[in-house]
Amino acid sequence: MTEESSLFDEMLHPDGSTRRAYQALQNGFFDDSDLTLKKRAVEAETLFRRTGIVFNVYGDAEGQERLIPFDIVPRILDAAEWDVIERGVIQRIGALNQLVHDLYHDREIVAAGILPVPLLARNEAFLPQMIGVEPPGGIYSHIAGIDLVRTGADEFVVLEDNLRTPSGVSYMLENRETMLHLFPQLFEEAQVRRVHDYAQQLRRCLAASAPEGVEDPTICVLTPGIYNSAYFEHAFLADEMGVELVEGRDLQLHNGRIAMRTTTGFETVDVIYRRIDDSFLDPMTFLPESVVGVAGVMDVYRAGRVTLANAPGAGIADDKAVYSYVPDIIRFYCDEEPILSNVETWRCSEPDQLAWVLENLSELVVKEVHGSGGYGMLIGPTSSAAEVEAFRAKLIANPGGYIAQPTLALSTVPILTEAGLAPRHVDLRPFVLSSPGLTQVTPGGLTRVAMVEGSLVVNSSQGGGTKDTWVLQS
Amino acid sequence: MSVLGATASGLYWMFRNLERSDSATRVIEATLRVSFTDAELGRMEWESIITSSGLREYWNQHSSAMPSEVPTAELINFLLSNPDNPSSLLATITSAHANARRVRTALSRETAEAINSTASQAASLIRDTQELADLPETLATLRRLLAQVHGAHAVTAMRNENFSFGRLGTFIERADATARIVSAKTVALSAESQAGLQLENLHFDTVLRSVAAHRAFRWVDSGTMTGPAIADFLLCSLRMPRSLAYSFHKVVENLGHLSDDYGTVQPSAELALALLDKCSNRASSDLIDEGLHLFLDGIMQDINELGLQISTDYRFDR
Repeated sequence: MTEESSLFDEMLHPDGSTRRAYQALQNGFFDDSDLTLKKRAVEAETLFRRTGIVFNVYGDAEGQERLIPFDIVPRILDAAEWDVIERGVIQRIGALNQLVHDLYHDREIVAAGILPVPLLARNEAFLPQMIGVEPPGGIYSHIAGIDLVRTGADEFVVLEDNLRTPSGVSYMLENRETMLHLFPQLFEEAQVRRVHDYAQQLRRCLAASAPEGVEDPTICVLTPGIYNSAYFEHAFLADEMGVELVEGRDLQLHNGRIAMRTTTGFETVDVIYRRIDDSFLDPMTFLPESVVGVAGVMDVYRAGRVTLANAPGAGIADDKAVYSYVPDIIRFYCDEEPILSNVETWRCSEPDQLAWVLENLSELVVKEVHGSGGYGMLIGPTSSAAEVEAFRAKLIANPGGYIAQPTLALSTVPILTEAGLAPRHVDLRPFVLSSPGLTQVTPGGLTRVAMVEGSLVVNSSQGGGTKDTWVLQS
Repeated sequence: MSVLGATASGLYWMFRNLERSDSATRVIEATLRVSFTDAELGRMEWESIITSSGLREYWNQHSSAMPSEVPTAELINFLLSNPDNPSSLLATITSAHANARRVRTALSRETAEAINSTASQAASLIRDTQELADLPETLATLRRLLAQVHGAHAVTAMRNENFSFGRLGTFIERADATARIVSAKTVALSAESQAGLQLENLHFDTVLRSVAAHRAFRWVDSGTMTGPAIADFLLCSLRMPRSLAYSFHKVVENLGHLSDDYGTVQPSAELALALLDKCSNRASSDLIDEGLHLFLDGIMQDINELGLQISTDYRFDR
C-alpha cells in the first residue's frame, strides 16, 4: 500500500498551500464555519430525498432504496487538465467505435495480429447476430463513460471503459443543481463550465443517429422499470429530453417497425435509447425468458428500421480483457499515440502472467473480466489472508475470467466529515456522446469518492459517494 | 397528440390510489369517533368499514374472529399497514407512489417531489403510530400530506390529456367510495322522520364525517338532519364535491376533454353520461322509494364497468 504522504492531493500543494483551481472556494465556502457547511450538507440530503434520486442495492434483502452520499466540497479541474481528459476520451471512444465496427465486419485488427482470435471467439460480449450489421454512421456506443483515476499532477489513467449502458449522468446533473441551490454565490465568482446542456445534446445525438431517411425521428428511452437501480436516471433523462419513457411491454412490432402503444393507437419509434442489457433486449434473439425486452426488435434493427443506442454487441470493446489492448487499438485505428494511458494489466488467461499474479496476489487488484460495479473483485492489500486464499482458488479455477492490476495511488480530494475536511480517494467518469460526425464530452462528469478513510472503492454499490465536478473556464 | 397507454393508466391509478387513501383516512376517523363515544355502536361501525371498504375477504384470511370481536388496536393495524390487507392505507399510498414513479415524465418536478416526500413521510408516520391515541393526529397529517400532492399538481400540471386521466382516477374512485359509504347506511338513511333520535344522529354524523361534510351540511336545507336530506346531499348535489352527481359530472367533463383532444367520442363517455343522469335531476325520495340499496348496488357495478371501459378505450393494457 502506498504511503499516504505520497498521494496526490488535488486541493493542496505538499507545503499545505491551496492549488490555484481550489482558490475559487476561498470566498463563500471555506470561509463558512464548519457548522454552516454541515447545515448545507443536511439540506443537500433533503433535496436529494425529495427528488427521489435513490438507488436499489443488489443483494440487499429488503431491496431498500438508499441515497448515494453526496459530498458538498466540489472537485475542481482547471482548463488545462480538462483539455487533456477531453482529447483523451474522444480519441479513445473514436478508436473503440472503430474497433467494434471492425470486429463485426472485416476484422482487420485480428488479421494484423494485434488482437488474438480466442479473445473474440470465446467472448460472450461478442454477438454473432451483429456480424455485418451497419449502424447509422458506424456508431456503436453513442453514450459512453470512461472511468479515470488520477495518480499525479499530469497523470490521468483510464481504469475502465463503459460502452454498454453507463449510468451516473443524472448525478452529474443533479449534483450541480444541488450546488447551485446551496451555494449560488460561489458560481458568480468561479467560472464553472455548464453541464446542463447534456440532455439536449443527448437528444440531438440520438436524433442524428436515426435510421437513414427519417427526418423528425421519434425517440424513446427504454427502461426495465421502476425497480431497476438506475430507474431514476431513466425517467430523469426522458423527462429532460422531452421523450417518452417506455417499458418493453409498451413497444411492439407493428407493420415491420417498432411502435409504442398510445391512447389512440400505435406510434412508430425511430430511435430507442435502451437502458436494458443486450441479453434482455429481444426474447426472440437472446434470452427467451426476458420480459423486459421487445420481441422482434433485433430483426427490425438489422433491417435498419430502428436505431438502438447503444448498439447491441458494443460491449465487446469494454471487456476488461480487451482493455489491456486499447493503447494498441488506438495506434492501429488512429495512427496516433494514446493521450491517456492504461493501468498496467496482467491477463490471467496467459500462463506466465497468471503465475506472476498468483505470486503477488496480496499486492494486486484482481477483477472479473465481465464484472462491474465493484462486485466480485479482490483488493489484495486490504483483504484478509483468508479472502486472498479464497480468491486464489477462484482464479485458478477460471484464469481467463480475470485480469490483475497494481494497486494505484489514487488522488484525493477533501470531503466534509464530522471532524471537518479530510482527504478521500476519488475517480472520474466523463460522459462522451458520439453521433455520426460529432463526438462531445460534457465538461465535468461524475466524481465518485470513497467515503471511508483510506478506502479505494468508490462504487456506489459499495458505499461510495459523489461530488459535483467543476471544470473551470480558464 | 396522444400519450402512452401505460402513462394514461399510471396517472389514472396514481390518482385513484391517492383518493382511496384520502377517503380511507376520513372513514377511519369518523368510525374512531363513534367508537370513542359509544363503544357498542363503534364495534358495529368497524364491521361496516370492513364490508364497505371491500376488505371482508382479506379480513377473513387475517383472523377467524369478527372485526367487532378483536381489540381496536388490531383493527387499526389491519386498516393502516397489516400485510394481510393489500388495500391498507400504507399499501394504497405505496401504490400511488409506484404509479407516480412509472409516470415520472408526465408529472411536474414539484408534483413528483411532493409524492416522494408524502410517501416516505406517510410510511414512517404509519410505522410510528402504535397508540390508538396517536391515530387522530396521524390521520390528519396523512391527509395534509396527500393534499400537498394535489396542491403541487393543481398549480403546476399542464391541462392536457395527462391531467384528464388523473382526474378520471380521482373522481371514479371518489364516486365509488361515496357509494360504498352511503350503501353501508341505507337503513338509517331511508327511514323517514326519525330526526332527533340519538342513534340516527350518530349514524348521520358518521356518514357526513366520512365525506368531510358534517359542517357543510349544516348550511344546506337549514341543516335538517333527516335521512332523505342527507341522501340527497351525498347522491344528487352538484355543489357537494364528494357526491355521486358531482363526481360523475367531473368524469363526464374529463372524458369530454379527451373526446375533444382525440376527436372521437368513446363508449366510456356515453356510460359516464348515463351514470350522471341516474344521479342528477332526481329527488332522493324517488331513489329511496325504489330501494336505495338496490340503486347503489347498481351504481357500484356501473362504476366498475365504466373503469374497465376507460381502460379499453384508452389502451391502458393492450
